[in-house]
Amino acid sequence: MNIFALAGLSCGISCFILALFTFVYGKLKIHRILVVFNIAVAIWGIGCFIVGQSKTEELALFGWKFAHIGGIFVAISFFHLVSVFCDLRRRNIILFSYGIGLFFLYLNIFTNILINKTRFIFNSLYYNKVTLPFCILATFWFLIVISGFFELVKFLPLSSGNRHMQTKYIITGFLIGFIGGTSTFLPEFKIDILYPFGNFGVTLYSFIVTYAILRHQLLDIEVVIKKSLVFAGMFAFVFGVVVAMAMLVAHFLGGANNLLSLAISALIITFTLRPVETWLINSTDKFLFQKRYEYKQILKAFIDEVITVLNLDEVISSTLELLGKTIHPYTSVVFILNKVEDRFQLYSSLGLEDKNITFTSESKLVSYLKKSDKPAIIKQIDGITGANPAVQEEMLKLKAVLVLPLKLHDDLIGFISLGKKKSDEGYTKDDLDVLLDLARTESIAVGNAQLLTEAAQAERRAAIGTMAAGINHEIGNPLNIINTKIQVFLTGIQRGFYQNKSKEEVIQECEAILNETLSQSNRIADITRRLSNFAKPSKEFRPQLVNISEEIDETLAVLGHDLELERIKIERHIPSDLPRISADKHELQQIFFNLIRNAGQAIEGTGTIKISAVSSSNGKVHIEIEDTGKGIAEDKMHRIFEPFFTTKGPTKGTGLGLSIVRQLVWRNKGEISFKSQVGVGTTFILEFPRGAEA
Amino acid sequence: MKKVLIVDDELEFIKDFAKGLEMFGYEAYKAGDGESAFNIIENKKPDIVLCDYKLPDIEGDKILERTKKNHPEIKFVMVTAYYDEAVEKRMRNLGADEVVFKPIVLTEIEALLAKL
Repeated sequence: MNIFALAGLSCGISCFILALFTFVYGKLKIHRILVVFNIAVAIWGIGCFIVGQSKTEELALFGWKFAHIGGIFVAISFFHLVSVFCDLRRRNIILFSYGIGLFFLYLNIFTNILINKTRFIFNSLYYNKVTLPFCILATFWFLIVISGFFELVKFLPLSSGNRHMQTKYIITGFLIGFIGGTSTFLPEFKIDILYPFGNFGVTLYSFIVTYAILRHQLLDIEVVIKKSLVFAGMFAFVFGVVVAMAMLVAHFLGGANNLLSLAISALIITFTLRPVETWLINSTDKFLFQKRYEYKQILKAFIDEVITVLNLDEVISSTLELLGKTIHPYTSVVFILNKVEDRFQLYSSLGLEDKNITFTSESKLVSYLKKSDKPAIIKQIDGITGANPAVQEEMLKLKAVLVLPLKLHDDLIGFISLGKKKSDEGYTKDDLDVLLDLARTESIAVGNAQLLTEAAQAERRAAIGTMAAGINHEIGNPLNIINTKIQVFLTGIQRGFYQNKSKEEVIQECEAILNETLSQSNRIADITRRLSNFAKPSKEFRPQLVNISEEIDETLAVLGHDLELERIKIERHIPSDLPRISADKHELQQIFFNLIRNAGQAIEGTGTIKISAVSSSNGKVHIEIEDTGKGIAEDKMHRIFEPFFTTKGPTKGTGLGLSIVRQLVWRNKGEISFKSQVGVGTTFILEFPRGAEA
Repeated sequence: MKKVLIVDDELEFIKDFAKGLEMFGYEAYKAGDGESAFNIIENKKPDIVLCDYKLPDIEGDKILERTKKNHPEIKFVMVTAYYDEAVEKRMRNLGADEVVFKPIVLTEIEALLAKL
């Protein structure tokens, strides 16, 4: 066999295997096109093999024609593949190309226009001589291949993550393949400098693409590969032991003794098979599926991080996301205890359709988790026994094979249920160890977040309480005025006080009453509008150009009367030409509300709150909220922005105010600082960058 | 004719309230803050004081205490902004003869004043 035939054969076989592989495990459109491409290349390789083996010109011509059946479609399916991979909408071009391909296919099979003569070169094979139609085909072929690569290179900087790696491997693999493949064209154009062994390059292509499949999920077949490798390894091990024993027995006892060698083999295998299997699984994980291997490290790192998150939604969603990425379970669900209703409610889930599942404290699963520190499992995992059938039945409702308890100070505060792994592997003891660690930390994180939520609610209630006084004053007083006015008029009518008055006088009186009623009801309408603006919950952060003076006014409308009633004087020094800043209106009001309310609460007896703003020379807007309150003791100054830190009495606040204020200030690109002196007062200083005026 | 003093910082309110009381046959005096309330109490010796709890310069309970101390014969009705059992109890402990809540009901006030 000459080298040309050998290269063709290796190209044909490797691409055929790759096609088979992709056909069996590929599910996506791109995989189907990859199958077509690889079959086309395999046909080309086999054609070349036939040519290399041909002893007659006639057979060689058949080989060339056979090779070009695949060759024509190599370019077209490559372009098709690229279009799908890069998500290009090139439907018409692709259809047109396949049309041309079919036309040339017709010419190739049914006529001799494309391929009709050969010359014997390199002393070994009949090489195809080009014709004019063949030149046209070659031009079309090159154009389409080059534009395919052009698209891939264009796509490379746009892709990211795994897709980016896939693109790199596709470009490299296909480039090597095409350079190898096209180098075999050289002698067709009478360039005989190199022996045409380029089809080996195509074999290399198939290896690179296979590697991309394994390492970068070009095909999602990790498990199949892993299982086959482990199985092959174990088979080799068992076979090796048996053969080695047979040989040793034969050597030392001077003859074959099958029974003895088998007995020894069985003994060895019994004791070593399990460790070998574990070793094989770990090694395949480590070398082929490094990502998988790293998941335990990722989980451990996550455990350290989740404890610092104080938002329950965030704690739970990031946990579910992480579990989804590392363990790949079909379902993962977090249940949290609703203390009021004493039942466990589904808080968040992935992969579970029924979102309305709840568990009472009497349910079998919950009782089991309360009693045991272990997770509830369906099947035995490395010596840990499965839960009893009643518990398992409830777990099946959740499609769970593993339920991890979330316990805080021995109380069950929730649980995480996990379904089967998508990889079809069972959970191992190692998995359980890491997951139990995760559950322990998760319990603390959930507990912390719940505490904070409760505190935030208390803080909101305190704020509402403060606002209620303002509402009462602002709405209650005008209502009382309107009410009294009407009562007095009606009583006057009923008791005949208007009998002696002229019609004009009564109308005049009515007019006065109605005018006053209108003006008082406007007063109510105004405060209602301001309050609803103020209380509007803002979920999204929406910065816009805002006028500080207006926002302070809005805040004082809610808060001011409460302060006035406390005999606190408010001084405003805000220049009318103060530049606007870019901030979220609602958040800015919250900042002012908290700071002004704090200032008011710091004042015992009478006092003054001075609110001033200036445009400073460094392009910032500088706001000061100064009170003549009791001041902050020096040893407490460094703690005032900590959550839950408070110097106020229990009824006035839970201490979340300033920590929230600082977060809001930072979110709006501002800075907050303060100066304080005991007995003199405290000044909070805010600095925001000027907004860019349109 | 009995003399009634109304103390409240909402001037529009006391204007109407006074008018209503006049219809019921009372002589009504008006005060917008603590200081003028004390002046009227000393100079006009009203029989009854109807006093708002929150005032710009002083709280109603201070007026109550001083009035009851200096002129125990003057009947004192505390008017507060919204219903609160604790406030009512405290006012009664301080010597208030009656506690009423806004918005006031004129006929109830009439009955209440007649009883005092």
